[in-house]
Amino acid sequence: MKNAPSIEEHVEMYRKMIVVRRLEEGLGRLHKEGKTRGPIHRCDGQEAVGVAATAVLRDGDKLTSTHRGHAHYIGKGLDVYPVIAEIFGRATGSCAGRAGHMLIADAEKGLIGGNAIVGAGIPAATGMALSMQVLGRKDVAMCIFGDGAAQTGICHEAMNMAALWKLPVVFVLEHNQFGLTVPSSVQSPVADLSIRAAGYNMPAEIVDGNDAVAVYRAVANMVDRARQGLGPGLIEAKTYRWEGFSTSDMGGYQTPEDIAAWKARDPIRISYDALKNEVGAAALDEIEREAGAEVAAAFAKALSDPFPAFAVPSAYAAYSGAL
Amino acid sequence: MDATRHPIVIDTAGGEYMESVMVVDWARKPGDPVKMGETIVTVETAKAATEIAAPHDGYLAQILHAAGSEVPVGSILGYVSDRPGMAASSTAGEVAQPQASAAFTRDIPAPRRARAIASPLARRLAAETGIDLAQVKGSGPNGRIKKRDIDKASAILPKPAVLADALPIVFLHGFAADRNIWRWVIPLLRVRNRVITPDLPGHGSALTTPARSIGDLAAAIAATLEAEGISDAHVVGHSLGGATALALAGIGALRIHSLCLLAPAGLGPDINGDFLGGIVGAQTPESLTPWLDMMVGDPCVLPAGFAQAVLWQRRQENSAAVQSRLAAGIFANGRQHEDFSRNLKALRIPAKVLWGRDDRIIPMAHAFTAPGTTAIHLLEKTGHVPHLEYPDIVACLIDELVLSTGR
Amino acid sequence: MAMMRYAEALNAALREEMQADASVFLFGEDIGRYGGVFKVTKGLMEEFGELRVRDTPISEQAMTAMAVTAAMTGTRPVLEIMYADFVPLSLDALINQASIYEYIWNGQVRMPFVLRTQGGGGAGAGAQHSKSLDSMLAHVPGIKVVAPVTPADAKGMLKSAIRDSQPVVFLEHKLLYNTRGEVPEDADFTVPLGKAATRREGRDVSIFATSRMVLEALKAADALEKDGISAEVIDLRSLRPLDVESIATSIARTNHAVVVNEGWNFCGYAAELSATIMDRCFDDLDAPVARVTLPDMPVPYSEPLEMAVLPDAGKIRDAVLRVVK
Ligand SMILES: Cc1ncc(C[n+]2csc(CCOP(=O)(O)OP(=O)(O)O)c2C)c(N)n1
Ligand SMILES: [Mg+2]
Repeated sequence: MKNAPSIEEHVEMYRKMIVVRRLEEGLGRLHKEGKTRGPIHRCDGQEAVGVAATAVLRDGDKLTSTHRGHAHYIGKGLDVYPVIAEIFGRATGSCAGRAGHMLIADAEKGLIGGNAIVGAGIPAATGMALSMQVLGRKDVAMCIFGDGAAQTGICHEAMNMAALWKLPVVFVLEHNQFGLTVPSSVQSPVADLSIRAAGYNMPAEIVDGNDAVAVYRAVANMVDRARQGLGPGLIEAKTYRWEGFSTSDMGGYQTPEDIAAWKARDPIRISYDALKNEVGAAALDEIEREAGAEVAAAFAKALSDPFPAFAVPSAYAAYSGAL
Repeated sequence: MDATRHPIVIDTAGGEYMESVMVVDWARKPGDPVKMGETIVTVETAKAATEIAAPHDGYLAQILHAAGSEVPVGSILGYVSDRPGMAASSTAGEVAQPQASAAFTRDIPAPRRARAIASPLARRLAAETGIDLAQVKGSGPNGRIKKRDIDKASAILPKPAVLADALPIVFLHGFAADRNIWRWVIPLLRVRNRVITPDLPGHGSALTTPARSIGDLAAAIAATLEAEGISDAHVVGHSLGGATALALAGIGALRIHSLCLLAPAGLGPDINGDFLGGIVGAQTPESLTPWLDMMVGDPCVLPAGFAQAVLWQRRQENSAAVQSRLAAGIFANGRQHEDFSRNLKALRIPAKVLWGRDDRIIPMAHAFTAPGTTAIHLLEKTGHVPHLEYPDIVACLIDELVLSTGR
Repeated sequence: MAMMRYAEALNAALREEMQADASVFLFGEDIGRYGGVFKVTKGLMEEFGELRVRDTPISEQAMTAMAVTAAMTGTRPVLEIMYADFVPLSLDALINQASIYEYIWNGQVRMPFVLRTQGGGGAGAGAQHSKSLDSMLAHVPGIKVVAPVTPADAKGMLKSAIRDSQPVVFLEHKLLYNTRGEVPEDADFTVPLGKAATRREGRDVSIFATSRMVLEALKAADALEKDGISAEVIDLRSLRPLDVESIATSIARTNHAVVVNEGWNFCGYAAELSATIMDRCFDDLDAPVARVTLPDMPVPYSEPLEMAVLPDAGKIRDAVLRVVK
């Protein structure tokens, strides 16, 4: 099948999904213990979208993420340890504790970066694609964004320019059914947001966002086109957010039936079932054990790491003339 | 209210040259009976807590500065009344004036506006030139004092003089005084030279430094200055400090660039022996006051409570015995035994001798032993302490001397 | 040196920088085929092609965001926002994006982009096309804001802005485009950002002005000379970083300050200048600082109404006379 991931690639996606799941579960636990700081946006149940979409990318390719980016971070190749250290504001974090969990960046890995202004990642990736086109590079930019972000005006502006100029950017709409608490049906008159792509003369595809292989294949097709200079594409990955909007969500707007139904379609389970015959349950269980141990060790280490020392950044002196 | 009220004063505190003290604790409540000499209030200086005794038998009538307040040295802290029932109900309303400004009652400034309206620049310039904004008329909008107004005012005022490599000015106090006695002169100087005010051995902070002769005093001062790395200076000396200055010139360790002597000892044999004995021996304000009055041309110039302050300090320091011994050595039998007029004649530097025409401690006639190159200033209506009586004139004459050397 | 119009000086700067560095590219509304509504980019699309000189749709919000990230990924974009009045649409990109990344990403990225725009009144363009929003822009840490007034500075500072590794908002003025001046033709000529320029020396009062108001301040200084007042005129040029040293040095001599900015008064750039002067020069001031600004109201259309609100030489002279009184 065209652009299907290899077994090894699928196993790696399986592993990363488990890393992300253990990360989210660990954060949930520590939040209950009062050990986290600020809101944390978990992505339990939607790991396949971020992990599989980014599995298609190379290091030189750029990614913009959202406030709910843990699967995107791990997918784009960041180690879980500096991510956890950043979430806990430590000097050893990806951004030395300055960014926090919503704004993590790792320029070397091409993740630039998390963004907590809803919709801002869409022109951000488009701008990177513009840069790549001007410089004649063969890289692509990817934007993973939510169904809520799809309603911003800037989404329209960016997609219009991306398609108009055939910029090498791939838009991955992570449709988890909700904006903050408001369901997508209350935010948009159309159920399938990807029909808007037609308005930009841009190809689009709807995929099962809980099936890593399906996401991978669809995204890979769009990335190939973009790399060839054929312009942007839109993938709409349908998925569901198991946990609340953030650790400070009071709940009450997601039905237990919906949650149960989507949990029955756990993306990790779907990959497990698909891989079981290929590599054997024992190997998968061992991968799960190792991934869990890696995350546990990362938590332990990060939590004992030092906090950063404050200094007024010298770079800002240049802006103000006097600090 | 015709009961006599006796001020409780903090004048010199622990021999330190300080601007203010902190009131730590009142030992009595208003209305309580007090005995003269017993501790009535404790204040704290930078050095240590110091107890202040009741100036008089009677009743604590009023507390002007409650515990915790910072008070300028010289302030009246409260009053003791002869009669009971004079206690004021609160400390509000009456604000004590620092004695430093009340001291020279001839020119008590007119009551000021709450705050002069002046531009920031005008304020800064006024502070730098020592101009009192209350005396300046503003020509800006709203009567605001502007730079041009300060310029006008300072045109008729002597400018502060900042000399290029200015030498320090060493001030040597007189017998039974201490370095604080220069407090009124120093702020009036226009020259911005550093000032050094050592205590003579047997006085103030140098109470325990042994000395038997004027030569000993000079040697000790020479050692102090050398330790500070001072090889060149201007010297101002009063009375015993004047003699010490002359002896210092004789030692030659310090290069003296100008010399200002205020009613100095060491230029002749006479001295008022009764005064020396009286001033050291007096135990009560009543017995001390006549001697203090003898010291000045016009008794009015002494700050209220000056006698109490002197006694208080003396008790704190237990200086009476030390100073009687010193006087017994230097001025035995009411005579001066060491003559330094030769040292003065040998000096080739600008020098002045200032004397009060009404000096009743050392006769003005001693001034005429000075050589012809020494300027002699004989001040009218002035006693033995011109620096207390006319600090402005003394400061002006010191300025002249220092400026004439260019350093 | 060549005699040039301000717009031509800008054009020369863009051309020279595009010739020298292939990563410099331009985008904005109507800048390509037409050459820009103020003709600043005239001829550049012909010379450098459509890849590097782009006409855009009317999408200020996304374009500014794109300039930020294009700059992060290897290019030096120069974005033209046609009127400063449209810059509010760009504010998210400036405030929430460009201003934060250098710090929160711990130096991992640089953002060498320039946002060119033009503002100001006097051309009968009405309330939505005549504003000076300097303070809104200069408020943001992590952004440089400059406003040259002479053609030479227009060229030299634009070249510096393009070469700068940090975001620069470059404020032009619609009434300056046709002003003329000597401009160095040397491709190495630049004017550093962050330095004020004394346009006229004086003893009695310092007038600190921005953008076109420098020209008004110079006219006011001529008039004041006849009043017997010697006014110093300082062209701030760089609104952020501000050359506080030059301000302090001048006030130390004149002891009087008048600040002139075409933006609104309340919370305006002139207010910031006054506060800075108070912080830095309080004890040198012989009078309160006076502000000459737009009153806090929209810019009206009709000529006498518009002239009534715009700061000008007469209003500056009045303020000076008040201050030195
Ligand atoms: C411009 C802006 N408006 C509102 C918010 C508050 N907010 C944060 S996340 C969110 C919902 C975003 O929904 P979606 O894009 O679907 O992402 P999801 O949370 O579902 O991952 C909102 C309204 C914001 N951060 N930025
Ligand atoms: Mg959503």
